[in-house]
Amino acid sequence: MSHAGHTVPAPEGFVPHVVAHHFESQEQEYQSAKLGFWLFLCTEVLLFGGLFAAFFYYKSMYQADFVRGGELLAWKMGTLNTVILLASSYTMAMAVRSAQLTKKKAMLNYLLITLICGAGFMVVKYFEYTSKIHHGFLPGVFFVPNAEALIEFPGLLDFPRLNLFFALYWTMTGIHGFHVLVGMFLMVWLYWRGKKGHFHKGHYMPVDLVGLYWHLVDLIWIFLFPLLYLVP
Amino acid sequence: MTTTEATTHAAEPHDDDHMEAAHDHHVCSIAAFVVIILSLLFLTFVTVLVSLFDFGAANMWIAMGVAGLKAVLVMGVFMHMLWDTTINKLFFICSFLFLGLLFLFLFVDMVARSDLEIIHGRAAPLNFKEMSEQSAPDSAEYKFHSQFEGK
Repeated sequence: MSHAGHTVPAPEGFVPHVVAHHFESQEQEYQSAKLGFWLFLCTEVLLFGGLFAAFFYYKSMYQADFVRGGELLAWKMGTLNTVILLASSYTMAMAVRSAQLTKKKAMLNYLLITLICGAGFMVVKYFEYTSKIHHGFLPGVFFVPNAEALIEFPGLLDFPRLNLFFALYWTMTGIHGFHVLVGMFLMVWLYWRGKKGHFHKGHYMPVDLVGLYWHLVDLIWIFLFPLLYLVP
Repeated sequence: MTTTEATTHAAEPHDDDHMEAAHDHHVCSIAAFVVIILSLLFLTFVTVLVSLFDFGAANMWIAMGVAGLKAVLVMGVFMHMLWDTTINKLFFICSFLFLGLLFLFLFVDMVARSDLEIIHGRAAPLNFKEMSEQSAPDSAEYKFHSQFEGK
């Protein structure tokens, strides 16, 4: 048994992939990585699931406050963000497909569009957050609606638990936003590696796995959006 | 040394099988992706539309139900779960089952508490001391526990 892994031949102009030496075959390497990544996604589900549980609990404890809190959120911006993320999921899936078919230029373009969508999401988030900060709608003890907010939203002080609502809002959207930023970084990394010709039909695993991550980020937002923003 | 080993290995027919294995992975058609994204956008429209009406207690269920449907579409097609190995599907679905367990026990806890009723203004807090005094003032348990009253 040699110390170096065996090389998988690559199409013309692409970089051949070297299978790590502790794997029997490339297929085993691929399936191991995939399983490992799905397990990571399971931990992410439990991370956000815990936050959702907290939200459901406090929503049932303070129903009126949470309804009022939801009304204070910009649902139109939330809807726009949903559309942006769904579109980015499509372009990410197309990027993976392009990698599988050794279509380098298409893959790079789709990765770029996905990155731009992610940036667009963060821009909308920026406007949302600045509006909240401007009104004084900060989490927990920092929740102090200023005079402008009290005029714009009369009767805010009748709801003593709005600080709790906003604690959950900032935490959940904040952690999700952080995940989007990480995803954007991964997109840049994939683009850089893809440009060098690392991804082709013989080796597209990293694109596949980052794709799974990005779809999970979208999945979480799909649940987060109606829960926080769409108050019946 | 590494390069010569690599070239020796590249010459083996063994490697062609590995290339083949990579080929065997399912490649989704563009049509499937387009159908899914259009369905997702439509369902988003439905979610927002439905939220404008009040269905009472069903609101949460409808919202989460539509979200769940969107989730299934994303997981099945975009995340390739429909064509993935059984074990990957099993693990991911199990994480939702464990999440369900978390929600279940949380719900059971919420229902069993009395402070929910206080907050909703329906009942006075339960007075366990009074309740046990009324039920069994001569019981050994009451006598035992009354030692700790006021502490």
